[in-house]
Amino acid sequence: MNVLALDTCFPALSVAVGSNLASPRARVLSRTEPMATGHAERLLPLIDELLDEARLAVADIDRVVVTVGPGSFTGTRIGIAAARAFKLARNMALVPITSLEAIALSPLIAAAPGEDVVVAVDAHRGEAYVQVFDAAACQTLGAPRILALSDFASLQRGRPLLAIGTAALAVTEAINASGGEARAQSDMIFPDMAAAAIWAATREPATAPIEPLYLRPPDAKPQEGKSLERAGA
Amino acid sequence: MDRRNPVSVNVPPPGSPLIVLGIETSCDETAAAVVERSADGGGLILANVVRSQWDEHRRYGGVVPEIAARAHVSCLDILIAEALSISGKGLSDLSAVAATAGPGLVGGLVIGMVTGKTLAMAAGRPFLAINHLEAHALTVGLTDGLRPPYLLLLVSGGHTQLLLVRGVGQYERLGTTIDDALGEAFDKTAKLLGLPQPGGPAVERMAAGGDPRRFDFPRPLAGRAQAHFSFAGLKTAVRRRAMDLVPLSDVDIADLCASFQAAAMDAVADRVGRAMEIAEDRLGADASRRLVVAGGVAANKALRTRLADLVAGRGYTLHVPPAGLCTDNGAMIAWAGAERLALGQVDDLTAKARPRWPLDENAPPAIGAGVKA
Repeated sequence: MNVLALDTCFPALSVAVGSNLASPRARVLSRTEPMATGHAERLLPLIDELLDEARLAVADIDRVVVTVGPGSFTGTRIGIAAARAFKLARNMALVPITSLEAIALSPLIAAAPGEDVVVAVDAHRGEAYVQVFDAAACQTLGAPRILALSDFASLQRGRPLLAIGTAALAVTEAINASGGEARAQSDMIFPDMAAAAIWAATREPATAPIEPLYLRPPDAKPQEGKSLERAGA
Repeated sequence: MDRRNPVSVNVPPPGSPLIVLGIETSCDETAAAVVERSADGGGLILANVVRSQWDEHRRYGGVVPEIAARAHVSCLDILIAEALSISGKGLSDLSAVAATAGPGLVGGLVIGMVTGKTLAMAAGRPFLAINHLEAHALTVGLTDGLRPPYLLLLVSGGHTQLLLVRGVGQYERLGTTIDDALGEAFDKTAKLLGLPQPGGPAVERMAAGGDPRRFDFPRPLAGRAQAHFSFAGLKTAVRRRAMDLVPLSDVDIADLCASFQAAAMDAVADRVGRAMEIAEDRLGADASRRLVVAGGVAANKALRTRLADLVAGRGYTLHVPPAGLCTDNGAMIAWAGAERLALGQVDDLTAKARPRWPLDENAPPAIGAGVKA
């Protein structure tokens, strides 16, 4: 199976191409390019470069795994728009993965035996996007959610936690201050799309259109009336 | 690896018939269309689907960019599939994929462009990044077979411009608004008077039953040498008179709408008349006496009537695309793409969204103009 993996949720662009996955000839090529903006300009050329290196054509790709957020709203939509267009063009199967789970798949995460992993990414306004994983079993322990700083301590449910991501230190401090046990691995870890490609090869594809996971409503307030008074109103 | 031409695409040979998919996501309409351009330059719409997001924005009193972007990404691929299905064409039948690159709301532009680039790459076809204003400017080629040169009045919620269209890609701005766009003036007047949005049609409906002579509102910039527009002063004059009358009766509202619309149309006609003189000057002996109106406000019947009077007196013909092709749509994007492709122009997959993208990049700023000019 050949899998294309895309992540555009954070200030980096990550693309991976896995060929012959779930076979002895499996091979994964991946590239992560840090960038604050410009994902929409670089995404397709980078996909093309990796396909070329893998000696694959677009038509050879069987499925696309894409991070659906949480993350930058605009960034998240870029990957989803591309994935949905690939499906439309070539009827490829789509496999959604949360951006936090794609981070948790990184082999750079060094959890100790008995530790759970919490991926916590700064969402600004005193909040973080968080998701907890059982590192040993490679399983999620709940859906991603948005959590206020004052609620960070509630993340611990018994086992010691290894916190990853841009809000890892704040989470660790909150947990330790409330008598819990947590440590932070503060390296910057982006979603690992090479790992996500391998992960996606054995997952069930989505049956409904994939949608961004924003976790926050759009910033908009219903407008107050600015109209003049009408007779009899 | 050094790859100067990163994505291989099949560019059709000159003179072939072209079939182009057009994608439009620059504001609050998600749209996709398939258009065919014959070898002799004739146009045919094979499919044209538009989904308005107005219901999602209504309670906010205007378009909310983040809400627009969320709606675009959730339905664009579905609309494209529908357009392809209606047209009876598959991706492999397309000559190119065109998407609006600007001007507009960047969140929406990015979705249309990434979708278009991905489809182009998957189909091995060229991608075209289209200027939304250019698409409005060229629509009469699709609907009326009209070729440049012609004088264009582009009127929408965000733009009010007079352009001399000399050819595809050749635009000279003769005039622009120094403050509000015409559509914006209608919307703000509607809001002031408590009429529903979108304000243009609402004001027009009320005006039909009102007295256009009850209030003598100013005709901004009338008689000036340059063909610029201004509507802020007119808007303020309407507000002042309306505030004197509060509480407003239905008759007051109808008369305010009618008087406002009459003043706005007089001002437009005066400015277009001036632009005709400038265009004739620039084109010289082969001046084609054709006035094209495009953009959402072109649907306004009072505007059409007023301009019909103007052209009759000046020996011009008036060309207005049907209403559905004056508001935002994918067919005009596909057509602009086909016109550019016919000239051998394509863009690459690194093309950037351009939230601000004037048609005439060499036009000097209008004196006293704000950022919109």
